[in-house]
Amino acid sequence: NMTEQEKRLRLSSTLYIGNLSFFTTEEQIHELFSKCGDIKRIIMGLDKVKKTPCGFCFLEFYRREDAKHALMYISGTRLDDRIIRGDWDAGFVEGRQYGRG
Amino acid sequence: RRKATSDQAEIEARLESLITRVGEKSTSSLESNLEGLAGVLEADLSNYKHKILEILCICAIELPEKVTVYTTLVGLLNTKNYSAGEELVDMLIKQMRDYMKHNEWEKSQRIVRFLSDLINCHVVELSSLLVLYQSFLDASNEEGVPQVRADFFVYAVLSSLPWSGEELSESKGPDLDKLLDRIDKYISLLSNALQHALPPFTPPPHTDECVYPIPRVVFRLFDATDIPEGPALPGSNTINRYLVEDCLSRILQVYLDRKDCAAQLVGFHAKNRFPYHYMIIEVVFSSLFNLPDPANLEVFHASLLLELCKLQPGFLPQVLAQATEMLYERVEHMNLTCMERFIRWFSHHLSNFQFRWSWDEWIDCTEKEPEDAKPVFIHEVLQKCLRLSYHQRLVETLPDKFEPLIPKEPTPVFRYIDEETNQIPALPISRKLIEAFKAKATMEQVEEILNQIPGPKKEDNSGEVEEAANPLKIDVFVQSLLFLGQKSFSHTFSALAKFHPLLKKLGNTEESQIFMLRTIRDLWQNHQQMICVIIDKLIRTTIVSCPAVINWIFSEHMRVHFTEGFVWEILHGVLRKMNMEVTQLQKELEDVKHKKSDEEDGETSGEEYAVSNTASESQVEKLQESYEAAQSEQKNLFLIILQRFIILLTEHIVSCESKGTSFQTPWYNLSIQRLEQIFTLHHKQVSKYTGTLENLLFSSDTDQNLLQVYHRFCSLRA
Repeated sequence: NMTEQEKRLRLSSTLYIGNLSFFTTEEQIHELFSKCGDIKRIIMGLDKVKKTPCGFCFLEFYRREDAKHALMYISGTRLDDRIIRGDWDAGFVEGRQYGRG
Repeated sequence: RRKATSDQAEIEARLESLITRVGEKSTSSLESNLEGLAGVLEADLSNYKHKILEILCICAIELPEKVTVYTTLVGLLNTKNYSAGEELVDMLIKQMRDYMKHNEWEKSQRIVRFLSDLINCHVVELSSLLVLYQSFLDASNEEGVPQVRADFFVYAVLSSLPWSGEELSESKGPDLDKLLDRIDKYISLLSNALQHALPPFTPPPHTDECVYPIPRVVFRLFDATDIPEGPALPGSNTINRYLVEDCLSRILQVYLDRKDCAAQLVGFHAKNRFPYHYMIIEVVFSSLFNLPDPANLEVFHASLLLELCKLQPGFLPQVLAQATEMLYERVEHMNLTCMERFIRWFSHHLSNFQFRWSWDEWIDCTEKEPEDAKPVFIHEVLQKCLRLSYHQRLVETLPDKFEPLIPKEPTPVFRYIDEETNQIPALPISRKLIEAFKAKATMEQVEEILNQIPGPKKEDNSGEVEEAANPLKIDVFVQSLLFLGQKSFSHTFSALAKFHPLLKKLGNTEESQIFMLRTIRDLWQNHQQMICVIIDKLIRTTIVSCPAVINWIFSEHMRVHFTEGFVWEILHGVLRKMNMEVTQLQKELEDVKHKKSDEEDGETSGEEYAVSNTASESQVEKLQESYEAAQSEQKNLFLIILQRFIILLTEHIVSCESKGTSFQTPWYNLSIQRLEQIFTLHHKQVSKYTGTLENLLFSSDTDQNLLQVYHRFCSLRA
């Protein structure tokens, strides 16, 4: 349902962060993004088979305002020499952390 | 009818876009654009007068860097439609009063400036502007009002003089005449217009609710000798320096998108007349180092500087490096709060440039005493770089001589691992625990293993035997659990979540919570970020209390770390969480009260009304209780911190004096600044408690050095 999805996006405090290096750790992501506010949780994207990080994560802030600032001031800058990209996410659901690697 | 409304909305939107965008890039001159726009607006005035005036009013306040553009536009309009000019002036005056009533002083100041420039466009009478200035100066002469109020009114007049001063003063120098001649041709169009008297204005009186702007320090980084070529930098105290700074810093406040902001800064209209790269960097640092709070969100500055470097890679990185070098040279004299912002910005910036820096030029810092400002600064920068990168990377990037300043590899220091000697008590218990964790044992099974450690018993007053805090039990359990969860934050957090009830049980007193914190610091002594996030988690899950964390920070165990950055990251994190909770509860309470009064005013009748009313009644009561509890907890925290500071610093001073040595050691200088930082970073909260503080902590018996810190804080609002 499109409108339901839109509604969840409008209220979300969760971001999808992509183009991460496979070697970038949760700790590094935490440090960089906590410059915008307190982080509730980080869920690393994992390779479906190998269960190793595969270049993306979900990042949930306590406050939506802080997530907005992360998009404005962190997305498009570098972490581990890669330009990382963020976007709003409707919220993490179990299973979504498994990517194609 | 609907069609008509949507047409109207469309026209209004078009008017807004035309007005707000005038003066942006265009092939024709600004003058002809403005004349064209004035013509368009004149035609629309009959139907859209209110909307047009409203937009102009907003532009006067929100786009202050274009003040002269809009005053000219108003001037042109006024020649075409006298009553529109009059209405706009009235609207601005009314708006100014409203802003003052709502403590929006800066916005009211922008209106004064706009009105001042309107004399140049022959919209406002010179003499009535003088009367307005007079009323401001009268307000600053009132008796029994705070200095900050008087400061504001004087500043509002002073900062408007660059716009009206020439006109007001009769001595126009020959340079000014030349300039005026050029402008004259354009202005002559306006000179025949009728002018308005400003309506009488008396500033709203001072009340206890008034919150005035906090005193500001003028920030100057560069002087003319720092700039090798090109146009000269105006002197630190000149009007030109002030005006360019003012325009640039307003751009920083208005354009919050980093790309827009960078583009506006480098596109500044008067850029060829000033060494503007230098002035941009100076203004960005001025905003970052503003006290008590940065003028913009802290992370915005780092982001903006990256964007500026990208936009002008041939100039800005060099100027930024020069600025960094100058700040580094002065780091010894830098305010601690500013230095921490400098550390966070610099490490963040470096992480975007592969940590490349002319490190060799800073090699001198490796030969200084470790507690000197420069090595301390470098070490803290590297701590932050480590968090954004990894240990090996820093070792490879930095010259070998920096090795003593590079943080240790952030691996755990696990106590229960000595396989050789087996001398450590409880080592077998730790092994059993780890096996049990791996086998996904239940909480009961784990507790059973743990209970093999005999606990010290103590008798309470009633003669009953109860188990006292058991440091060994806490240590074995917490070290083993966190050691196993070392792989990542997520692993650690899920271990903590899984054993939450047991952790609550082990940490049932403040004393045992402090043991827990010691254990965590021992395990993760080389991983400051881990200590910070674990403690944050423990507070949020109520395993440790805020006062426990504070008392741990001031305990003997943490004395070796007392001046390190991460300790204060933890402490201010505790206070921030507390402040946020209070603010949140206050907001909820206001919302509920508001809703309730709406319902009472509304048409809800009969039974339905009675039910919802009682429901919200108890809701309000409950919220009120939690709000008051949180507030008193918050106040208590500040009292504990300030009291511990007074004890610690007074002890130090007394002990040095008895030994006949100077108490102003590097440790003391850092620690007293940490005390000052409590006031700086939490000034809004602490200012509510000044009465209590003066009664309990900062009385005439208190050491003069500490009292000074307190008095400096009070003078922010006096």
